[in-house]
Order: sequence, then structure tokens, then C-alpha cells
Amino acid sequence: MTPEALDTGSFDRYSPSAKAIALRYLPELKRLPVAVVASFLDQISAWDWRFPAERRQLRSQLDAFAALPLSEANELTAEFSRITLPAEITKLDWVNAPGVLLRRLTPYLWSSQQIDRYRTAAAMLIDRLSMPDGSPETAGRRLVIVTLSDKLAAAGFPVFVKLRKHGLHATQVDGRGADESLTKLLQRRTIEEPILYAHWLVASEAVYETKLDGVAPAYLSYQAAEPVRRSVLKLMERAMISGSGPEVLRSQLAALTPADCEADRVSTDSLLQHFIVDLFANGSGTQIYSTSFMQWAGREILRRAQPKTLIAKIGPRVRQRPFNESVTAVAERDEPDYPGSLVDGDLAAYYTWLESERLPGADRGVFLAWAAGHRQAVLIGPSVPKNVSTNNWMTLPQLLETAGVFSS
Amino acid sequence: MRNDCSFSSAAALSLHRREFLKSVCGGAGVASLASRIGRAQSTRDLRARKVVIVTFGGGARDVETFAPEGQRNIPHLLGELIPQGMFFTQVVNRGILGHYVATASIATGVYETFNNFVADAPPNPTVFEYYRRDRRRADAWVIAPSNGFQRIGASNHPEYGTNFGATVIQPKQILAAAAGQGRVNSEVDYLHLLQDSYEMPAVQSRMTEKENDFNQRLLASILKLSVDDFVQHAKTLNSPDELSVFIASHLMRNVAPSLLLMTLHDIDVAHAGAYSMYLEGIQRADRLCARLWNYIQTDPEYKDRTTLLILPDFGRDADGDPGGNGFQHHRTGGPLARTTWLLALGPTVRQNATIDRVLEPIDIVPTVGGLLGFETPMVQGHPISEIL
Repeated sequence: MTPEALDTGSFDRYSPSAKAIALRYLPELKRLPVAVVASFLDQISAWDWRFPAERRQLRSQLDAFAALPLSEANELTAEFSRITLPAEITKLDWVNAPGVLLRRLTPYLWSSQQIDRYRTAAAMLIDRLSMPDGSPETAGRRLVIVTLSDKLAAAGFPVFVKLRKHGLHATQVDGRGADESLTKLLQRRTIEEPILYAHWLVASEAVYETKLDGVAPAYLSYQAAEPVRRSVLKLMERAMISGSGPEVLRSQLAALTPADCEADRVSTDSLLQHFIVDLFANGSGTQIYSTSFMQWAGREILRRAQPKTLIAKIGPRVRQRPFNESVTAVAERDEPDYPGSLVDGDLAAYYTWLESERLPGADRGVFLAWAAGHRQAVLIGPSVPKNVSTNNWMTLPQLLETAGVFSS
Repeated sequence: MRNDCSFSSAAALSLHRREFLKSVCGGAGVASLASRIGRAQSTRDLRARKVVIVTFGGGARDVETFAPEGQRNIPHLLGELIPQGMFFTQVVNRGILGHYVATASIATGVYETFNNFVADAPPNPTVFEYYRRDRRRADAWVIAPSNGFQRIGASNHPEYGTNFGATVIQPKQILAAAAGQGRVNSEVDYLHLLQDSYEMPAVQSRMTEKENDFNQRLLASILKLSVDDFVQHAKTLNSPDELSVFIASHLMRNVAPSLLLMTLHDIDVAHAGAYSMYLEGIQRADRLCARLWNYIQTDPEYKDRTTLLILPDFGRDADGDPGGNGFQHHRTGGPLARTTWLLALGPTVRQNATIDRVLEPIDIVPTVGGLLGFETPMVQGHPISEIL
């Protein structure tokens, strides 16, 4: 089947909302090469489990494509059309299982040495379809805060080196009452802009979920997500012992549903259940190390939900078992690695900032990274000086106020 | 869909490394001609020459190695090895950035395009087959810690194949054979399995009886280690790469192979997403490379007749590339993931020299052919004249 052959009956196995979107953009989907249309259908087919920002972005891209003059649209897709795909890929049911085609497509592009052409073409297409998002949901300033717990400390380790040149480096931050301030800040911002999935608290450890009238923040905790983590690990262990290989494992992971992973024990929100399963099933190492989970979760929340507020609290991960323990079978479990977690968390803060910089409105956003164990923080924002250091004593709320963010 | 384009150029990476080496090594490029002539004469007899190839552990980026902030991770490379060797600042891998297929490409001199996730033999002859068929020798070995690399020693090419292939040692399998199977007993096992799972070919995690027998015999008759001694020593080690180097030292002492490929792999723990472990992997690979070179210099069978070639199979993704997740993977195909380096040490190699011209990993096989005196008729790469 080719994209041109898509018709109103092609999406009968989609959910009603997904089908409605597919039919709305049927003319555009029919004009896209199969390597591209599969990517769009991968998002559309899971429409019910997409965040509002993702839905907005997808509609915007397809609207932009629809508005292109035919010649320009053809030019943008021509490079994809030059990519040759074998029948075993094109004959896949890419309408109902677009993810299967995409998982086969990537290794094929590598082995046929067409990956660079695909990447270049994809970059051009997405650049052209990326329109400024003027919706009310994107107005206002985004606030992203990454905290490293006070246990994450190591003498002589220079925290936030990669971030310092982008903002104000405060070397004497008084962390007393900081947790309470951040909780209040999250509540206040949620109350001021009560938008679903716009305000997040994600943490390595358990979080106290504040009940608010109306829209509440989205809460995510590595510790609380243990049932999903264990389920995914069990699946991985079975796949590894069977020797079926990474491609089969990836397919199995992609097929996991919240019901397979007891995700209902973690959240009552079905969209969040899917998101949590994605974090463990599609993340690499998220099943083992909380720092990996926190970095990946922060990135995915920003990329997918494009929140107004994200507070990520990174705590210690378990240490890596040295090789000799796999030989001796004498092993202490769950011993934390504080210095290693500090290094992981430090980079996670940088990667979280990088991701926030890719979002619409990044030039208005405020970012704070705080290492409680080192009493240091870096604040980045439009009104904050760059590459400046201060050794004035200040509390976390006082530091945030210099960027115009008030917690009370 | 996401925009994947934000690259720095490969040439800029090369320049970066060169400038850095100038500052660290003090004007690299001044050769000791007298030393070179004298040492080359001592190894004019091709039969006496030996080559050891080491892949630097699964891909490390400049920012954690040769960039100023990364130098603390490679003190042995910078302080000990590079001053004794020739450093090529720009090795561009134009092939598939998967560990098995990329290592196979290094071994065959051809950009292989088979499925990285299937443990197939390469279709093109390996350097071991060229060597053994042409030179009528048998002393070609591979030490590869990763599951799935067991078929990298020989191609399925009809004119070559396993009769001319290298003997492949898989240290983890030896350990499993020695310590008994069914020992998946800790999360470190999980982690190793995880690495293999994400990036390595499909492979049965249980050894066959034949494989088990082979590993037992290898331990006793080749490496000349008792099971108890081997297991006891393994208990003192921190990683699979340390085990590989331990086995390499015994292999070199007892067999003294003329052609040895060893793939380090600890760095690839990066796939688990813990940056600190990735840095530790780099530091360990740095230390182990120096240990190996020092061993070469103290063993009469190897001293002054061995060329050591160290290169990563490829790099890792750039922080700024939205198509990847920074250091964690090598999936974008961007310049940082494709551009690495090569360090050559040995009697025919000028010391303390830096070369900026572009090489490719497929140049290794014809270069080894030139060093050991055999033809490599089917390679895509070209001999590295500066080493010969």
C-alpha cells in the first residue's frame, strides 16, 4: 500500500479521536512519502496518549504542510522519495502499526547508507513545518528547576560548570526552607495557570502530592513507579535469557501497555500511566538507575508536555556493582553512590537546560539548577546576567527573585 | 518528528585535538629520526614483527577526553603514550555506528553493512584470514568481552573463512565456564546484559557444551591458569575490560600471538545513562591501554617489535544534537559520533608526532598488512603510510 491509497476506511482501527485527526489531515497524509507518513501516523495512532502540547504541535505541522505551495511541498518531500525502501519494509502495515515500520526503518537506513540523507531531509522538513506557537497555552514564562539533594556532594567537584557561562553562579545559597518554597511555588503557578499537564514535579524519591481544587500539578516519582520499573525489568530479563536480541526486545517493550505493568498502581491518570510506561520502556538505563530516569524524565516532560513549570528533584542512585561482585555473589543491595550521583545529576541539570532551550518561548524562560550539598546554584533567564558569579549569601527564593520569580 | 541538525564539523574536532596536544605534550611533531632508524632496523625481519590493535572501549567523545575539561580522564594517553607515538587527529567512520558491525569493519577493512544485531560472520575476509593464509601462520587472536562478538574472527567468504580465522576469546564466557553457569546474581549482571541487549547482536546467553569445553581447555592449556586462580583473580577486578587485559597478558606470555585484536568495552556503560560510570570507563580504558603498552615493553617477545594501534570504533552523540541524548548513545550519525582518533606506537612509528589528515577505520587492515607483510586484496581502505 502506498500513502496515495489511504482513504476514509484506512483508520477504522484507530480510536475515534485518532481517526478524526487522521481523516482531517487525510489529503496531507496522502502526499507524504511512506517514511514520513509513518512517523506522523505513529503520533496520530496514539492520539489519546499524547499531551496537549504534542497534539498542538502535530496539528501545527500538518497545517503548515497543507498551506505550502505544491511545488515547495514536493521539493521538501522529494529527498525522502529518493530513499529506496525494500518491499519487506513497505509492505508492513504502517497504517495500523507505524511503530513497527519505524523500528525496521532505522537499521535499514544505516545498513543501506541512507541515514544521512534521511536525517538531512527530515531536518529540512521539520524546520519548514515548525511554526511559532501563538496559542495561549504557550504564553508566559516557563520555569524549570533542577535540584540535587544535599546527599549529592563530593569535595572539590565543580558543580554546574557547563551552565555557569549562561547565567548567574551563586556560590553561597542558603537552602533552609527551600523544599517548602518550591512546593509553594509549584502550587502558586498551578493555581495561576490551571492548565492540565502544564506543571510538574518529578523526583527520585516519593513526593507529597498536594491536593488543589481544579487542575493539580502532575506528579512523578521514581520510587513510586516501582511496579512499572519491575515489570519492565522482568520483561527485559526474559528477553535477554532467551537470547532473542535487541530488536525483538525493543518490539516487546514498545508493545507494553499500562495494564501489563501495573501502572494503575502508580497513577489514576491514564495518560500519565502511558507516559510512565514509555519512560521505562523506551528509556535506556531508566530501569536501573534513578539518575538516568530523572534525566530522561526531565527531557521527555519538556519535549512532550512542554510544561510551564518543571521541578525535578534528583536524589542518589544505587551504586554500580563492581565486576567482582558478580563473581562472588556476595552483594549488598541498594547501596547509594553519592559522588557518582552528583556527577550524573550535574550533567542531568545541563541536559535539562539544553532541552528547555529547544522549546518555544525559551528566550523568556527561567532555569535554576541548585546543588544543595554544595550550596551552589546557577540561575539563567532573560534578566539574569551571564557568566557572572556572586558569593553573597541568599536563600533560594531570594535568588529566584532576581529573575522575577516569586515563590510567595 | 524532530529536527536533528546541530553539528560541529569533523575538521574542527581534529583541530581541537591538535591544539590541545600542543599545549599538553609540548610541540608534538618533533621526531627522533635516529631513534626511528635504529628501531626500524631492529624489526626489518617481518616474521618478528607483531601488531596489537585495541579498540578504545565503545566510543568516547572529545569533551570527555581531548578537550580541556576532559583531559583529567586520560592522563596515561596524554602523559605516557602520545609522547611515544603518532597521533592521528581525524579518523572518520563513514559506516554503521553499531559496535559489532563497526568492529567488524575495522577487522575487514570494508564498511560492513550487515545487521548489527545479528551475530553473523562478516562477509568480507578479516585481517586474520589475510594474515594466516598469506603468511601461513596460525597466531592470530581476538579478545572480545561482549557477547555476540564470537564470530568476528573469521568471515564467511568462500576463499577464506574459519580455516584461516583468528581464535576468539570471550573472557566473560571463560569466567562463566570457570565459575559455573547460572550465575546471573546481581544487578551488575543485569547491567552487562542490558548493554548487550541494547547494542549487541542477538546471542544465546547460555553456552553450548562445546563452547564450555573450549573455554575450559583454553584456560588450562593456553592461558595456563587453574580455575581457582582464575576465579580468585577475577574477584579482584572491577570490570570486564580488566578481565580482558588480564587474559591478554597471559595469552601474550604463553602464546605470543603476532596479531591480536582486543576490544575494550567498559565505556559503553554510557548506554545506561549514568555519566559518572561513562567517565570511569574512559579512565579505566586509559589506564588499561598504558598497562598493555608497558607489558609490551617488558616482554622480550614483544619489546621493540610490536606496533600498538589504539582507536575508538566511533564516538558518541553531541550534547546539542536533539536527535540523540548526548553521551548516552551513538545513534545520530553526527560528526561527533563519527570522528575519532588513532594512536600508533611502535618501532616503525615516529614519536611525538601529530597527523591531521583524514583517516578511516578501514585503513587499519591494509596498514597491518604492510606491517606484517601480507596482501589485503579486498579492502576499501588505504595503508597509513606514516606508520609503515
